[in-house]
Amino acid sequence: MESIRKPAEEEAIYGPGREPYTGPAETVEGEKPEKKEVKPVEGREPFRWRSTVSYKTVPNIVARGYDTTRLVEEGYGVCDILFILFQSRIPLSNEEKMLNYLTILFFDDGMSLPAVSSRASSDGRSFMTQAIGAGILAFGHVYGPFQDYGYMMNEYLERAEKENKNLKEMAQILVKEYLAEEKTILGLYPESVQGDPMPYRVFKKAESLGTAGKYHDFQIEIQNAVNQVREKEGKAKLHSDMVGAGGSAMLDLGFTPEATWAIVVVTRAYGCGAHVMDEMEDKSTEELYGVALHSPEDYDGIPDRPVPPSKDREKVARPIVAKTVDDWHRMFKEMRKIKGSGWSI
Amino acid sequence: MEKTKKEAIEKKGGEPVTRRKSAISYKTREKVVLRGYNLSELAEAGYTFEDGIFVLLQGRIPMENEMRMLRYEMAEFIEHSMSPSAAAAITTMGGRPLLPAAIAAAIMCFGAAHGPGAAHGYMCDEFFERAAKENKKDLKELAKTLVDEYLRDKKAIQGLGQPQHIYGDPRVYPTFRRSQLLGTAGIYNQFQIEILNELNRRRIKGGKSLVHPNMIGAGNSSLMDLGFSPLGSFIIGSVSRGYSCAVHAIEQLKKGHAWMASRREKMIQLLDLSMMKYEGPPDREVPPLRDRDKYAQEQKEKGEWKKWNL
Repeated sequence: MESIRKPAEEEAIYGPGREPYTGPAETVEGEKPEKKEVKPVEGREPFRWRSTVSYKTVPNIVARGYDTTRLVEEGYGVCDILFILFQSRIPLSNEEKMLNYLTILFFDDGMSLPAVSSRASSDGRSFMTQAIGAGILAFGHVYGPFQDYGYMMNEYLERAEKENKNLKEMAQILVKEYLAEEKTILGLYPESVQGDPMPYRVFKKAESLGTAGKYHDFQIEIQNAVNQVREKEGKAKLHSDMVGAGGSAMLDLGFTPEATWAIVVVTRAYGCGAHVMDEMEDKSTEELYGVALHSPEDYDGIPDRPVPPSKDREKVARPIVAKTVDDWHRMFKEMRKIKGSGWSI
Repeated sequence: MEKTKKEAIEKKGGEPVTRRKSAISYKTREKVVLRGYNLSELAEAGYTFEDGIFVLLQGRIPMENEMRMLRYEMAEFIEHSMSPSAAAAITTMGGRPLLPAAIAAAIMCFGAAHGPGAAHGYMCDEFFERAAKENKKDLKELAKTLVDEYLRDKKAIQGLGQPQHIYGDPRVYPTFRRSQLLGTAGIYNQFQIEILNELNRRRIKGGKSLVHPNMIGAGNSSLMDLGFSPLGSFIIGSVSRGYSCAVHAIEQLKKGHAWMASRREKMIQLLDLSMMKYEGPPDREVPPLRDRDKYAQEQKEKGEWKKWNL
């Protein structure tokens, strides 16, 4: 394709003497790329929504083979249905009771990140579901990382089996490796949280209901292994948090790391909804994000400066395009100094 | 992170950066307290997940029959197979973001057409308020007024009709029946039935087929009879579906292909290029930038663009 730019412009972009790259002339198979119509591959089934989870017809909704109306008519509740959906099985009574216990604890966590995100979103008077979505999006690798926690547990439990180690030995290996790599051991509160009895009550409940299994035991071994190291260093003990206690209890119930995370996140979404209604009813928040609350003393960026006339742009502006690795390195170091540019993350 | 937070607090003279009042909950190092109840104690005292929802959204422990009705409703809300929310979860997961993004997409899919619980609640409340003000408290009469006004204004009457279950959503009539059996059916249930009857009387006269309620009509009426506000009911309906949408998203993650466009699969993928049918303006030359104003002026005057303007 002929360039629409002048040669000087081309040179500024691609460097002197360099031809702009226009892509390969032929495909791997030696054919010209198809420009227009893409024909369906012969012999393929037409598009359909395929699912191993559920289907519906005009008169029925069926999840994992069970008619959902029959399930509720029979008296199965939300926690039973969660087992059916995620694990394709009806849980034992004690398993249902344990999940019921956990979901109540997952409802809310005070003014936590999801609650704040939902409240802030609703202050723009968005739809309720948007505000709840904003709360859900606050879950990640640091806040409520139940999926990562599950992966960590599974990785080391698999190794324990392969390497023929018991849980205590494997917990010590995990702690040693994580500390060596300066990685956060998931499932433990930071040192600043020394007095939350909720996780210990979860352990106890799982034990009394008979659902505590290898994840429960492994979590306790990890906590012990960390504290052995910390004791030698004269540091305060660490305690399991709700990711460690709640996460291990969910994994013992047979939920995968992904399913565990999904159930926690969705259950918290109800709490986010309650926070949104509270926020909407509180009229005093209407000016919360106004100018008055963002005064110059809270600003720590580049000081005030005059806007240069646009005719002087070329004098004031500096090119950022890096053409060599050295250029890039200089640019990288410079950009890291600019707060909020994202280069120092 | 911890240090930065501390610095920020010190800078503000000891005040936390974000200090907000909340009527929902608080937490200390010892406990999380929801509407006055210690959450661990609530769970250990044998209350159910559904009791927790009452505490969360209404600040009260429900009667046994109310809890049972909510248990029934939430369990039936959870899964509805392929609906806009499930499709949103599946397609979002196709791009391989973190799982919560797919769940959020599914829940955010609920709006004015998909599960509009709040809209249904506000519609009912508006007419109840009018009834109280105008002292016209007969529900049959009120339903007649509503149907008159909505048909006249060509507005959709909330709570009726479902595009897939054309003979009525299979959950609808069992829900009405269950709320009557449990004694939780109240004014919202009754009003919904009166609206349905009023509309169907007219449709029969006009030789049209019967309309059936959808799960907003049956489910939302029952939730509001349990004391949930329009928004509270909307939360229950949309978030409950989040669980099953999460399962659909995980299935896509574990068993489906990222991008959903592979041409190597036996079955045509959702985003396979052959699925596309373009019906917009035909291919056209990009005008040189220097001729932009002349070209744009002509294009604007010709007016063909209006055909495509969305």
